[in-house]
Amino acid sequence: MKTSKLTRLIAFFLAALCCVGTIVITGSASSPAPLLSAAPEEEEEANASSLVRMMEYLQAIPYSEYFETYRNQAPGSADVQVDLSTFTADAKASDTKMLSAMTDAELSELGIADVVSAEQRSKSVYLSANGSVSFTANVPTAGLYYIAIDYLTVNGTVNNVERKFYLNDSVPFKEASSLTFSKNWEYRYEIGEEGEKKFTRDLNGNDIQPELKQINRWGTYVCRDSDGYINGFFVFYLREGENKLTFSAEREPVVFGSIDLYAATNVSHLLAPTMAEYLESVAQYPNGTEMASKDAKTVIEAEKPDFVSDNSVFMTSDRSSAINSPSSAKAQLFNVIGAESYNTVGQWAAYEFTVSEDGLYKIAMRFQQSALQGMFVCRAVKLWSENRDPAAGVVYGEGDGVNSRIPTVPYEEAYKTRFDFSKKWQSDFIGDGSQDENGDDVDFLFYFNKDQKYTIYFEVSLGSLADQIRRVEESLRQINAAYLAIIKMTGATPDEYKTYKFKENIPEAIYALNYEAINLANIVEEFEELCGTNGSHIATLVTISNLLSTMGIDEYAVAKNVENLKTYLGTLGTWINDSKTSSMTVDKIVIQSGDAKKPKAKANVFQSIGFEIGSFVMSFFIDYDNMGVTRKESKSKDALNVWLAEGRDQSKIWRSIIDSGFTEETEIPVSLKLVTASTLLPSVLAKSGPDVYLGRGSTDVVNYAIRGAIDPISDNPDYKQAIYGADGIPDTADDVYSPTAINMLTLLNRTYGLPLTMNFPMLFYRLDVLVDLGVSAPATWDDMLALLPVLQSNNLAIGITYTLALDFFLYQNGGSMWKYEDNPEYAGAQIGLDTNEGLYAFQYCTRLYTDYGLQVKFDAANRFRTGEMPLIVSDYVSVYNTLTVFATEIKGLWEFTHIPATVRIDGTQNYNSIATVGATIMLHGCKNPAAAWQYMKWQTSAEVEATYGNRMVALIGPSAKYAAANLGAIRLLSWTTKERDAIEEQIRHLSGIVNYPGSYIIARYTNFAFLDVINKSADPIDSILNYVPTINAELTRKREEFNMKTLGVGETPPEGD
Amino acid sequence: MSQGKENFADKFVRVLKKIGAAIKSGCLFVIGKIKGLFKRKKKEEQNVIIDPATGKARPIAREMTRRQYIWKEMKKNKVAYLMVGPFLLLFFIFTVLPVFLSMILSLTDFNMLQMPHFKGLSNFQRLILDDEIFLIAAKNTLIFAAITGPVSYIMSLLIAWFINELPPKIRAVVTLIFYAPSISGQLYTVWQTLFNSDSYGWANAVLLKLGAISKPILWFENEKYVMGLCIVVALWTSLGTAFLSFIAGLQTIDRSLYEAAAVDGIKNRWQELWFITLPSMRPQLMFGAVLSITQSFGFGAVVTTLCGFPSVNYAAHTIMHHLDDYWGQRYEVGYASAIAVILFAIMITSNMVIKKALSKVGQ
Repeated sequence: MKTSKLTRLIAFFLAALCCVGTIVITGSASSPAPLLSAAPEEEEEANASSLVRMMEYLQAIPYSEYFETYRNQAPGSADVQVDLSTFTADAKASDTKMLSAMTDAELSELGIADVVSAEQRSKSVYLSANGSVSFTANVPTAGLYYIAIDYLTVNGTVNNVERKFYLNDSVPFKEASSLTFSKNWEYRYEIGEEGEKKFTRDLNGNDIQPELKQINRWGTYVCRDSDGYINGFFVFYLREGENKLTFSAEREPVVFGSIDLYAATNVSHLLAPTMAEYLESVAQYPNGTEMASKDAKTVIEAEKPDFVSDNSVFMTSDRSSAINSPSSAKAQLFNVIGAESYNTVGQWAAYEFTVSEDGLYKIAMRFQQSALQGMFVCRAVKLWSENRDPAAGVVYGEGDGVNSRIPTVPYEEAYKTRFDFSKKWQSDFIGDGSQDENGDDVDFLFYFNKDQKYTIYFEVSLGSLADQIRRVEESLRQINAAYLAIIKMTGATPDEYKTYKFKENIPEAIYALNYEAINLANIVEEFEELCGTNGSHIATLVTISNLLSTMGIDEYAVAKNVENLKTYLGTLGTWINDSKTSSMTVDKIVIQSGDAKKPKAKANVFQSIGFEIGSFVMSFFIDYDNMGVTRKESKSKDALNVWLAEGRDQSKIWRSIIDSGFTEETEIPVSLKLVTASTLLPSVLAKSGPDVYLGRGSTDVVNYAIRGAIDPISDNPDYKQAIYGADGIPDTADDVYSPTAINMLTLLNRTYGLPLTMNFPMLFYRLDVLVDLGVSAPATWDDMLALLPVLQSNNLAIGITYTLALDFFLYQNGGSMWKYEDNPEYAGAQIGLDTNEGLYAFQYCTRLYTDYGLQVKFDAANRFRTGEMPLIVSDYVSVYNTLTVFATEIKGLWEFTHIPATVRIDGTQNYNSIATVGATIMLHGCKNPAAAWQYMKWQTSAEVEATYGNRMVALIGPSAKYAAANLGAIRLLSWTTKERDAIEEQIRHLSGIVNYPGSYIIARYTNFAFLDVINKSADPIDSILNYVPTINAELTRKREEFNMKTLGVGETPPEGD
Repeated sequence: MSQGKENFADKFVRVLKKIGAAIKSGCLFVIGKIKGLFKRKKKEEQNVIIDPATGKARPIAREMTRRQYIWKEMKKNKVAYLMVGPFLLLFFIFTVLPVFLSMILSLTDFNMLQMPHFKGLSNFQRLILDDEIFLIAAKNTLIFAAITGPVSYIMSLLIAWFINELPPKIRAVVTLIFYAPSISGQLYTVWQTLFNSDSYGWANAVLLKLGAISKPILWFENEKYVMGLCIVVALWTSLGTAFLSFIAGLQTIDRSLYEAAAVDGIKNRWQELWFITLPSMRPQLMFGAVLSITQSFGFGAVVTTLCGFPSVNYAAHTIMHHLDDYWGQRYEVGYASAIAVILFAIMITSNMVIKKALSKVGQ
């Protein structure tokens, strides 16, 4: 009995111990960013100091401050028109010219030949996508002005036009550094029998997204905040006499028709009337004071906009409600617009419509706004009428309708059309949320004439929340400063038990904490008043405000809570980001009488149950393989069999491009299958493989090729032209691909695929951190090493993996991983690491980690984000995509450039990077090699690659950049001018490591050699030389397997071979 | 409306009837077949002679060869064979056949993509005489197996024994806790966080903070630590199915045996364990042992996840890794098959040894 109790006790104790252990371990496993909690000191310091730097870097003051400074200045005395013909352009913008100096052919290439009148042509100027252009404005009296620009978009990439504005050679305020001119995109629908818009359907009845076309039109842009914080327009203080207005290109070319400086009082035509004034003004029209009859009802399906602001605004299929119209249990039908695709300030979607009666109307919308709990989102409702004659009916918008259409809000309340939060679908008349004396909601009224064509625009705006969100952002800046002051005194991890006497030493910081606590509390109150409720979203602010007031009031709480404060700073940043994305999903818009019934908001129980059961059952029958197939022959057995191993989105995009492009042109049906990458090997073995496979890595290509599983493409007669352009010679301007990429797919003089994707490392750096340190991005490795002590004394580091470092040093010094690469028979027979260059590179590389203390392992993205590693070297597309989506708070604070250069003995600099390639390959046993070759050429052509890349960005967002291998495609993808220059510069300096048989052995043994140096402090030269014979032996063994020429120890290839 | 509904109901009933009729006829068919089978059987049994002594009919007592006897027994139990058939078929196609296939392939130079050529025993010759790394791998595998196999086995047994003493409800919870690491699949990656080579890896961060080291240690890239760490992780994940089966085994033991043993003069719990508990759960012990062995010999995925592939200087390179290396990276399937055959032989042998050892339990 006694022993039994003892055993029980032991067992229980053991169990309890394990219980605790498991909880701890499971808990830690689920924590997403363990490094944030690990060693806080360094990170905190880096974080803190980068905040100061950011402010110094962004020397430009915010607009609010700018406005404070000049608000008491008199407005300008008269409007001024700027003469555009006297522009000055810098060297990069040398193709800036007046439209009159351009030929008709050039104009039609830009897609603007039809919209430019003779008069406009004589005074308009074309601004290229590079460099900066300045204009001179002669201002009669100093004062405050608005700047309005008539602009015309031209054909280019999918981006909006973006310019950085300088007034007299300096950025007047922060917000002026990014002026965004939106484009106009038109959806091309299929037109049904009754003239209604229809989606094209695939063979299974799924909707296919219609083509989107850029429409070049004149528009007027009055300089304003593209973040949407500041309602209304910027005022600029211009001095008397000459003022220099400079526009520096960030993205896209554009045509300026005129620049007008409006005196800051004289803007009546820019301001909208109130709703009361509007209702008075429309009273003169027929039935102008009466509500239209109940029967007059126009239903607009929100998923079919006629025009959109940018090509990322697109329709989607939503199954969250059974009565979304249209909906189907089986097919994927588009029935809503919105959600993530349509939530950034400035984006809009526009619909054309007519009404059947004269009179006043309300607009009912069926929508779901469930993103921000307790908050509302805003849209600005703008109108444009086809009728331009006020005598014939009501006129909305400005412009003559032929060359320019500028929609405007009918009254100022329409800027702040408000949509409240609810988890469920809602249906309501639109309004600004205000209430009349009876407590009823005031709905917007619009007057429309019968049978006139109108266009209604719904533009995302921050509306009445803009001011609060902006103040939270300013508050964040103040709290940052206070945090920094505390950290400076205490160090990153303050001692809780020490008396720091904060109130004596840094009274401003403690005061700021108190002040911001109250400030945030006030903002919370305002939010609650505006939104009517206090949801979880706003609760975040309350928590932060409480913490701040605790720290502000109780001096002893400061040191304890510094860590918390740091966490909350991050939370606040995220909060601001979230608040700025105003997403909602719209199903339909009904223009109807206020007396008629609103559309139904929610499905009843039976509808929901029926729909859910139907969907579940149908999910067994949906043919996922043939999503988007519009041609019957693509399903036939004779179709060219193409496989790809990517996501379903990617596959759908390819499907539509192939159907509308390749099959349309060539009449060759293509069947596209989505597979997992590992399927290829067994399928080739079973002889049931595809004809063409998209995107196989170069290692696999060589592995398959040497075993006869891939057919070489270099036997095709037009192969040289296909890869090197019309002249068929590498390293010329018309190369289709980088010769490096081709080289990596070539074995024994035969090329085994066309490059589809190409990625290579580049140097990413944090602008703010470098500016603060007073250094520029290192151009050479010597600069880099000189920079290291500076960085390290600030607890910062450089992030580069040793494999990359080794490759850079090797190839930049003129070395190579292989000996005798110019002799195809013997290339790859021996490793080149025992040459002088090889040994030097290995030694230099190991020294970075042993002598200079670089980290061997690190999480690059995380450390770059916190600023701890202000310089990292990594694959450009992956890092770009990661940072864009993961580190939004450092947007605009980082750039990338080419890899640092090695200065060779002869003084030349070499900054080659190392490419990796994914190829399109033709499998051995392809049924129709000619068709497959034609398809491969089409697939990797510039236009097709660019279309694909741009559609990916449109569908998934800016974080879906595509690493196209086609050099022409890179020019057409949506990079900014600066980014593209950097990428193209690096592409001109690329090396590739060819994979010869047995090359897997190299990474393995260099890794061993490197780790020997790091772990056991072995001599670098000894340790690498130690492994060279083993590597060479394996290479020889592997080459013998394929009957390739081999070299013994100390042998060299025979002369003249 | 109601008319339509009636129609629908009629239709429904009609369809049901049809289905019923179909099922009925199907059943009749099957029953007929089975009857047919038995009939034939009876016919065979009708092969009788009249016993001259008793005048009664009795079956011919023919002399049967062993094969005939087996065949007869199989025929007698054909329903059982029918039931086990589907599984046997799958088991044969996906388990037995590949074993034989790999034995055949081990004699060729198969490379996954081209027709193999017969190479005799050259793969084995190279493997045993000319492959240093295989020797390292074999050494590592044996170390792994020798440490993790028995230790985890004994650990499972002891913990199961302890837990068995707990009241049923607590026992269920505690069992889950111990079993959790092995059902949570990839959870062992938590060790990666713990021993990350980054200066923010937990172990490194703590050691750096304490001033014990000045530079982060590359835990999984340093020969000194790799093997030890992997063994620890292996033990941590190994409390799996064997442990569960031990608990089940402990619970099925007849309580009366203990009472009888107490009467017979068992002196302490150890004797009880050795003479009663363990022998009574011999099948579970065998099951657990087989599992432990396959687990410890087939240990590889965890090492690859933690240390990369291959581990530094092959410090934790097991036979499984060696196989992967030749199969996945070098496309030398023939050679990889030879490795697999050797691994198979080792496992079979050790299984037999264990079986022998277990039969000594309780003696």
